[in-house]
Amino acid sequence: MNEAYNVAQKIDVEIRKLTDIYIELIFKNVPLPILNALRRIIQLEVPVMAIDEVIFYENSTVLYDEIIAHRLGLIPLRSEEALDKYGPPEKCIKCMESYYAEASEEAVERPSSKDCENCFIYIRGSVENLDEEELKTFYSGDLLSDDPDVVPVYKEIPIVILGPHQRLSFDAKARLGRGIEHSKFSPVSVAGVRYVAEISTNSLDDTNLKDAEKCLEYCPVKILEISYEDKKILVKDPYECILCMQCVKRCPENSIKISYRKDQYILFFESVGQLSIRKILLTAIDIFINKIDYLLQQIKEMR
Amino acid sequence: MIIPVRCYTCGYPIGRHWEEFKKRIEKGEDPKKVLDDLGIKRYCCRRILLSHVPLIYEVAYYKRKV
Ligand code: SF4
Ligand SMILES: [Zn+2]
Repeated sequence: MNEAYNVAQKIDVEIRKLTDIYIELIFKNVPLPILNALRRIIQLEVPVMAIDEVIFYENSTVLYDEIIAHRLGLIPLRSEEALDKYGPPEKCIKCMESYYAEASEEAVERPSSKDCENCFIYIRGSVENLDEEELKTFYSGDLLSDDPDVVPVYKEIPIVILGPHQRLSFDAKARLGRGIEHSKFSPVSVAGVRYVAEISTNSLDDTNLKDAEKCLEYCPVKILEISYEDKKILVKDPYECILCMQCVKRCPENSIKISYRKDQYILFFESVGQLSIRKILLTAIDIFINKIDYLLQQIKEMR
Repeated sequence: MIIPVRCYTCGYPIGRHWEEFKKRIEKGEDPKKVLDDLGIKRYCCRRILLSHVPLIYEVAYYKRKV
C-alpha cells in the first residue's frame, strides 16, 4: 500500500494565509483524494442563497428580461444566517418540479404549502428614470429584501442602466441551492489543492557560482537566494514554490533538485462573500462526515 | 454591453469594481495601478475590466418609446 495512506500518522492542519475572503491551509498526513473530496464539497455542495426566479411587471430598458434575470441570479446574497433559517435546497427543487409538472399534467408528489413557507424569500426592485437626458444606474444596493439577513453582499454592482423615461419593476424569489446545480450557488470562486515542493540543493564550485546568480532570476515567485559562505542555493519558503521547474532548467546541473512531498498538501479557496471562510469550511466538513456516515451505513446493510 | 456581474472564468464578483475603475481610468490613471489597488490579482478578472466596452451608455438612448 502507498505510504501516503498510512493513517496511523498524526493528522495536522496549519493555517498559512488568512484574510477575510482567502485561506490557505497546510494539511499534513491527509491523503490527496480525501482533500480533493473536501475541495469538491466546498465548491459544489455548501448551500448559499441566490435569486432563482424573477417575475417582471415592467421592463422598458434596453436589456431583455432574461439578461436581467441572469444578472440578478449572479449577485451574491448574504447567507450566513440563512443556512439555518431556510429549508434544504432539495426540498425547494421538489416545489419547483411540482410547479412545472402541474403545467404538463404529470403527477408529482407535491410538498405541502407549509413546507414551502420557509424555503424562499422575495427580493423586490423597482426603478424609473424620470430625467429627460441623464442615464440612471440601478445598483444591487437598491434591491429591497423581505429578510434583512439576506441582502446583497456588495452594494455597487450595476444591474442595468436606464435611459430617459425607462422603467423596470420585478419581484424575485431567492432560495438556497448547491453549486452542483448552478455555479451561482457556489460559495467560493477559486478552490484548489496543490502540492508542496521538496527542494534540495547541492554545493556549487567557483565556476558555476556566477551562472547560479543569474538563474535565480527565473524563479517566478522569487524564493531562491545564494549563500556565498556555503556556496549553496538557499530556499526562503518552500511552500511558495509552484513546481514550475524553471530553476532546474536554468541553473547549473545538479545544483538544485525539485520533487513534491507525499505527506503534505495545500488547500486554498477564496470566498465570494455570501459565507465567511470559517462557515464554508465547517459546513463542508459537516457534509463530508454525513456522506461518510451514509456510506458506512450502506455498506453495513449490504453485509 | 454592460459590465458582467461576475468574472466568466473564476466567478469573482467583478461588477462591484466597475464604478471606481471607470472613474479612475477617466481621470487618466494607469489601469495596471488601479487594478492592483482594487486587489484584483488573477488575470481572468483583470481582462474583464480591461477589455470591457461599455456600449450600454450609448445604446440606452435608442429605444422605442413606450
Ligand atoms: S520550481 Fe519554480 S517556483 Fe519552485 S523554486 Fe524552482 S523556479 Fe522557483
Ligand atoms: Zn476571474
